[in-house]
Amino acid sequence: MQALVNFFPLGNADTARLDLADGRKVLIDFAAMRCDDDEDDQRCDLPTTLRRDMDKAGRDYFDAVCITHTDTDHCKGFGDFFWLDHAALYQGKGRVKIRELWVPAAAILEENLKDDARLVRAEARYRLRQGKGIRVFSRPERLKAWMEAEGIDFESRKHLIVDAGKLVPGYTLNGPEKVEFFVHCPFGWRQDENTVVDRNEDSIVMQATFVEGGRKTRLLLASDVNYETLAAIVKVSRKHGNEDRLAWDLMKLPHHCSYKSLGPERGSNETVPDPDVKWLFEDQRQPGSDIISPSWPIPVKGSKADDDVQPPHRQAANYHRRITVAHDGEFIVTMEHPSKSDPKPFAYKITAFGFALALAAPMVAGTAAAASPRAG
Amino acid sequence: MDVKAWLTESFDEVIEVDDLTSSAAASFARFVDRHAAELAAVVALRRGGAGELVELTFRTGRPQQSVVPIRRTERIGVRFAGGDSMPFVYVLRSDFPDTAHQNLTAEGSPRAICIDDRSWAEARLTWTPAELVQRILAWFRRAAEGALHDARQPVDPLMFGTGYNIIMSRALIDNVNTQDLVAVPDDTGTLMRVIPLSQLQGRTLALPLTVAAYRVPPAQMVRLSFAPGNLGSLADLLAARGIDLFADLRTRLAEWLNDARTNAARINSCLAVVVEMPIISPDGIQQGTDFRAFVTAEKVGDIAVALGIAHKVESKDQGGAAGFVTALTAGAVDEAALIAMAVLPVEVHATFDRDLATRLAGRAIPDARKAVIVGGGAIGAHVAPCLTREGRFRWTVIDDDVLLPHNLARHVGFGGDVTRRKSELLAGALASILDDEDSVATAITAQVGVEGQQNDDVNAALDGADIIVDASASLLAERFLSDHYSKARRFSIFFSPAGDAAVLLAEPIDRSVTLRDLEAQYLRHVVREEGMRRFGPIDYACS
Repeated sequence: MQALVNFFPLGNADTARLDLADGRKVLIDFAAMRCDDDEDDQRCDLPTTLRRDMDKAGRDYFDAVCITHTDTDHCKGFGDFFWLDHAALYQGKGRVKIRELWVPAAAILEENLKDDARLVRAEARYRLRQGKGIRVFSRPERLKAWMEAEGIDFESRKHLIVDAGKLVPGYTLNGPEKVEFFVHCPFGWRQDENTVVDRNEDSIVMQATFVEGGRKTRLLLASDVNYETLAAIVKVSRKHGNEDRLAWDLMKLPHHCSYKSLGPERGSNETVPDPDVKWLFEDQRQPGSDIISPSWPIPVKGSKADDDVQPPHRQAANYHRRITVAHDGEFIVTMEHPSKSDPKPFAYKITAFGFALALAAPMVAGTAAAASPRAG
Repeated sequence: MDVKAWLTESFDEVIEVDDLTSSAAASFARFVDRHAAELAAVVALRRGGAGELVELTFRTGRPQQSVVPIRRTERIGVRFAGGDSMPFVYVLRSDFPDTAHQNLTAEGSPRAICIDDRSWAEARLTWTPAELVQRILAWFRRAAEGALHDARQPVDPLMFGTGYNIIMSRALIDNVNTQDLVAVPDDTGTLMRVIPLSQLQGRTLALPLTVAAYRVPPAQMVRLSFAPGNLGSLADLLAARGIDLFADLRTRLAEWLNDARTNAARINSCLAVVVEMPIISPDGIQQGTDFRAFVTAEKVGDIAVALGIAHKVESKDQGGAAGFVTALTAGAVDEAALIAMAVLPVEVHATFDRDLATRLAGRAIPDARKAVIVGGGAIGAHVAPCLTREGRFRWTVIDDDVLLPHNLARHVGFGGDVTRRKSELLAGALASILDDEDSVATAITAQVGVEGQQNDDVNAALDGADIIVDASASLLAERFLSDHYSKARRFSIFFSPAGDAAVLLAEPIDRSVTLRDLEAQYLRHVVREEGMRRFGPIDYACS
């Protein structure tokens, strides 16, 4: 089976579905952003789209669902869509099950959460208590105190905690899934110093490496981290000789094309990146690599949206576009693909020749263009 | 090449979708607009002498590291020529790479990708704009992944697109200087069979054709990208492959002119330059050889004039049996005149000879071993032609029987063959399958194992054979063949009595087990095994 990386037009929100070579499905964030009451809302109906895919695959569960952090644009609709083990209220026909929930430590430790963020926390805490169906991304010691206070045996849960610099257990390049996940963040350096949880900067950043036909294709999933965290990731990776763990062929842009994920200043026409971030974006990109901006369309210069403090920022997009084109790549904005007037979900195939945009002619059966069905 | 200039020249008028006269072009353009926005966008619609063109940008789905330099988005032009013909897909980029499965286009045209190797007559039955889009997409995907060599497709069809085809034997191509040839057209005028003038029978419309044949050595082969349009560019094409066309023609034509009386027909024929060239895939591997022909409208004599070695004579008083005389002193080559002489690229189909049959059967080495088949009846008349169609064997057919009406139920013979000797009937059928210089099949009308006049011929045939096939359905014949002193390996083939199964008994190469042994083993199986009972003529179960 050919692995696919799927993206969805959700405005400024993240969801990526990884269909692995062995049929397993991993969902990175879940943000059902569309307003059903608004006919003009061009954002994709994520629950329906994902359910259709589930039906096609004949399954009612994801092998893993990773909530990189508990901001609304990464977990909206979590309680409506998923079967949650922690409360019968969230169990019932049509709900999609989660075999393994991946969350950062912040999603467990943070207080005063509301709505879906609270449900993510409740589900994660429940599963951690049960000692199964969970991976918490953290330096293990960080959770120790909380677990002791909650009366949860730390030692027997330790294997459920994935530290930065490690691979997520259960996924290997040599296995039938042909993918591995290297965890960059949340990392110890931040966690040692942090007393206050910063949700964005303590979110999960991973490099997914796929292999097909001996060729690796690397997808960097950078959540919503800012340039300072990216720079810290770069520094830590270089210090440990893990530069190749920051190489990428596909980049899910952090924070919806915000300039803050590039550098301190927005700039007038083009954001100037922090030197470490520049190294990540320019030196670590592989030939022909693509950037995916999970965001609203890039504002036109001088437009109202261009003045907005919220991303996407035209100046950041200008930087990404320039360097992407220079490297024979493509800069794809989820709400602009294939057109601003009618954005649609899209997918990349993982092939022995690197990734390729999955394209199909509409209204034609797959076999129609094969050879003549009869010989005589 | 200048794509813009080509577009302007070939499709000078930019039109609206409602102005398209080709319904296929209009439905394709509308389909792309309405349903295929993820893949393509119509950029312009054009019309001109070459038909109507839908110009569009097309997402190729090229992977990150494409095997050939295809872009993520290519500009393409789909041409819908007047009349009912296959849409033609040009890639509107002068530096689009040379790949397998491109159509050969005229000089000055952009490259055209070959998205469908079916005939239009067949393809049009299921043609839809969606399928066209899918085929273009599939071509780009396969090209980018280096997978254009689909096992289902010919390696390099290199279709010229002129629609003209000639059929001629390799033997004629190899001996073009020894015979006068004519091309006999079929009723459409597009398919011509080239035969020696001497074989022309009755009053048949035929085009006198003189063939000049060249063979491009593999080392000199450069993949053909564009079809030459005139004698000048044909000479350039051959020069790039180590052949000096004009120098060679000057020599050949001068010889013919020196004996103009003998060569009159040839001098007044059209010239077909036949080139046998290795087929080279883009990765440089030779995939066989192929013939291309380039036919002029001008006579050989006119070409000789342009080559500076002849003069045209206005009347017979001026001499020259062929209407042309040799120039006393050879003049310069009139290149302008040669460039003005158009050549029509024509597909050449070699006749079905042993080499072609062998290749089509998926084998590399021709099998011209001597085979004797004893029995030209129902089974022999099917097995021997099938083997012959695979390019196998030089046959001797031995049978003493004649074809009777009831034989037509299983035999390959027709009503008109009734009363003919089966040996001659089958040998004739075999000989007509393969176009081979050597005799493919001979007949001996005799019954093996019985004293008769043909015994010596039978013995000689069996003795000289590499393979002996018993298709007689006669135990007497089979035992005779098994015991014969010939060293050839024996086979026996027959139907079960009910005609619902066929049996093959095959000796090993060293004949350590003979047909007699095999017969005994076979009968043992028939007697002892329940499932084999129906193969036996006697119900042994009662014993």
